[in-house]
Amino acid sequence: MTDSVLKIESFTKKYGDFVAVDNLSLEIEAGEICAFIGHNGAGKTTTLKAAIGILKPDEGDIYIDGVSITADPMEAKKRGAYIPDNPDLYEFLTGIKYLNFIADVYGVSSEVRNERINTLADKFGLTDALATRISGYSHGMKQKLAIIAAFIHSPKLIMMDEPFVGLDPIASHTLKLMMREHCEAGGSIFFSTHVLDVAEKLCDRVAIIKGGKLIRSGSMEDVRGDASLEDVFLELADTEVKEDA
Amino acid sequence: MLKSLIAIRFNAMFFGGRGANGNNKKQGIGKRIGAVAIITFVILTMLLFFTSIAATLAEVFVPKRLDAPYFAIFNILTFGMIFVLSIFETKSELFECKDNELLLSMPIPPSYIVLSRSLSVLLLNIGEAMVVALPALVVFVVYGGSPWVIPTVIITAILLAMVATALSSGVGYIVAIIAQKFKNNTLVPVLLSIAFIVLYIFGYNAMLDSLFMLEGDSEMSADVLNSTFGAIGFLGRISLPDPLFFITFVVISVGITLLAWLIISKNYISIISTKSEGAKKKYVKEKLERSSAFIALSKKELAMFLTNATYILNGAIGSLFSVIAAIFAVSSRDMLYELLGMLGFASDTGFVPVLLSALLFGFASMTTVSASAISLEGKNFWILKTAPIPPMTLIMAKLVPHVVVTVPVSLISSLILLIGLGVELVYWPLVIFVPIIGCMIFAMLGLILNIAMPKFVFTNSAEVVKSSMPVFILTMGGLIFLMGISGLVFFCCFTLGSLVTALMFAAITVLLFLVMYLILTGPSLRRLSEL
Repeated sequence: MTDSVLKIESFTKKYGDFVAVDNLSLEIEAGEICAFIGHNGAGKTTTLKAAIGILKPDEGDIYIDGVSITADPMEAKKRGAYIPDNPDLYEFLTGIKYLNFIADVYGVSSEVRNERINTLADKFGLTDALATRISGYSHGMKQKLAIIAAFIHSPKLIMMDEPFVGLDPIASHTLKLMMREHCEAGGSIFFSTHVLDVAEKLCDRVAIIKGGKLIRSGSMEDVRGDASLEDVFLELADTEVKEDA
Repeated sequence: MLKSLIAIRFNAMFFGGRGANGNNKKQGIGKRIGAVAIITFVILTMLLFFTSIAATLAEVFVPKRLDAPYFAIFNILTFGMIFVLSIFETKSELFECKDNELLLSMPIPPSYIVLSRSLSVLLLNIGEAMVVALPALVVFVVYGGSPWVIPTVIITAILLAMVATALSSGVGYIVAIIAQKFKNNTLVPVLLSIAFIVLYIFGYNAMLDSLFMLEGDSEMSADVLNSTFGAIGFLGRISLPDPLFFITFVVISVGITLLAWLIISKNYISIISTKSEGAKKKYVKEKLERSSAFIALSKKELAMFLTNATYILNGAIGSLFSVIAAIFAVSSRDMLYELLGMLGFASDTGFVPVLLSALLFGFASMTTVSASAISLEGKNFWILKTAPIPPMTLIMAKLVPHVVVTVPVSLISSLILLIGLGVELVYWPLVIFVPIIGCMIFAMLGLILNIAMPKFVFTNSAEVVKSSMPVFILTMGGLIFLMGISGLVFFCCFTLGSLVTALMFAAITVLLFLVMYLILTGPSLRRLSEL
C-alpha cells in the first residue's frame, strides 16, 4: 500500500524484442498535476495505457490510490479515469446515452450524474448536442464528451493522453480550470503533452521520458530551475542524442 | 495507384488486423493451417450440399435434355443469393469505409476508389457463385450433359456475380437514400432486405414447383420447355454454348456493371458526404435514471446491434429462416405426413417432434450475432478495458442481442410447428426448450470463437460481420450441424426409436450447453481479460 494517488513501480513493457518502457518508476501525490513529456514514440501512451489497465506490465506494478492495477483491476479502475489521444467513442449512441452509460458502469447515483452531466456539458457548451448521435460530432466535440465522461464519477486520478488536441481555445481554458479544481479537491491529474508552455504553467510536477526511460522527474521548479521547461527538455534531448552518438 | 488501392482493400478484407491495441501479432503457422483447414472443410461441405441439390435436379432434367431450365435454376439461385445477401454490405463496403476522407484527400480519382472496393466485394461474390455453379456443372456432365457448357457456365457464373454486385450496390444506395428520410434509418433497409429474402425463397420454390409440374406434362416436349420459359429460359440458355444468348448476356452484364461503376464514380463524393436529415437534435434536459452495469452494457449492445443494418442482416437474418421453414412445413403438412408414412413413421407420433426439435436446434446455428460482438468494439474497446467491468458481466451482456433475437424467433417457430402440425402436448417441452437451449449454445459458441479470433482493426463493419473467421466458422459450421443433426436424428429414430432418441437428444443438448458455458466462463473469460 502507498499514499500516492499514482505509483508506478519499476514498470517495463516490451513488444516482442522492443522495450517500449524500461524500468520506469514515478509517484504522483494527491492534489498534483503532473505533465508527462517526451518525443513521439518515447513510451508515454504505453505508460498511460498500462496505468489504467489497457496493457499489462511485463515487469513492475502500478497502483492507483494504493490499489494495484494488476492485482485488483476492478477496484483500481473505479478510482481512475482515462482520456485517450483519439476519442473513439460509441458512435451509435447519442452523447447523453453515452454519458449515462459511463455513469451506470461506474455506479454513479441518479442525483449526482444529473447534476454533473448538466454542469459539465454547460461548461463545455455541449448541452444542445447531447441528443445527437456521436457519429455526428466533430473531433473536438468527441474530445469534450470524453472529458465529461472522465469527470462523471469524480475519480481520484485522471490520466489524459494529449487532452488539448482538437479543443477550441475556450474548451482548453475550461479544461485547465477543471484540472486545477479537481486537484484542489484532492484529486490528481497525469497527462501527456507536447505543449510545453501549458505544462509549465499548469503543472506541479513534470516527468520527462526518452526512449522508454524516465530521464528526469520532480517538481516543476526543481526540473526547470531558472530556465524554461522547453530549454530543459531540449537540453536533455540534445544530451541524449550526443550520448547516443 | 489502382494496384496499391486494390492491395489495401484485399489486405483489409482478408488479412485485417487482430490486435486491440496495436498488438497485431502475426498468426502462427499452426493457426494458419487450422484456418485453411476449416475453410477448406466448410467449402467442401457447401459444395457437397449444392451437389446433392444438383443431383436431384439433374436426375429429372438432364436425361430429357432440359438443359436450359436446369441451369436457369442454378443461375437464379446464384444471382438471387448474391444480390439479396449483399445489397447493404456492398453499399457499406463502397460508401461507409473509414478511410473515405483519407483517400479523397489524395490525388486519387473516385473511379479508382470505387473500382478497388468493388473488386474486393466481387471476388467474394465470385467465390459464392462458384460454390453453386461448379457442383451444378460437374453433376450436369456426370449425368450425360454436354461438356461444351463448361466454359460458358463458368463465365456466366462470374458475370452473374458481377451483375449482382453492381445491382446490389445501386439498389442498396437507393434504399439508403430513402431510409435517410426516416427517423430510424436502420429499420427501412432491414425490412426491405427481409422482404427481398422472403420473396426470393418463395419465388424460388414457386419456380421449382412450376418446372417440375411442366416437366411432368408428357405432352410438353423438351424443345418447347427449353424455349418457352421467357425470362427463365433466357437465364438458363446463357449458360449453354449458344452464341446469341451468351454474347447478349455478356454485353448486358458488362453494360450494367460499367453503367453502375460510372454512375457511382461520378456521384461518389456527394454520396459519401450525404448526412442523415434527422441527425442533429437539440437536447432537452431530462432526469437520468441509474441502472446496473449489466443493464447498461446490455442496452449498449442492443443499440450497437439495432443501429447497424449490415450487422442485423448478416448476423440475424438466419433466424428468419426457421420461421419461413416452419410456415413452409405447416403449409406442406399433408405432403410431409405422406412422406413420413412412406418412410415408415406413420404410426410413430414421437418422430415428428424429435425431428422438429433437431431442425429448429440446427436453424439456431444460422444466427451469428455473437460471433462479431467483440470484434465490433474495434477502436472503442479502450472504453470497456478502462472501466471497472468484471469480464463475466461483459460476457453476459455480449450474449444479450443474440439471445434477444433468436429465442423469441425460435419460440414462434416452435409454436407455429406445434400448432400447425398438431403435435401432442407431451412433446411440446421438447420442441420448445431444446431449440431455445440450442440458441443459447450457439450464442456462446459465437462469442467463444470471437474471443479466440477477434478482429479489432477494420475499415468497415461488414468486414467483421460477414467475412471474419468466427462468423465464417459459425455460419458454415452451422449448416453442417443442421444437416448432421437432422441425419443423426433420422438414423437414431430408425434404430433406437423416437422416445430413446428424444431423451438422448435432450441430454446431449444440456451437455453441450454445459460444455459451452464452461469454456466461455473458463478459457474464454481468461482470454478476454488478456485482449
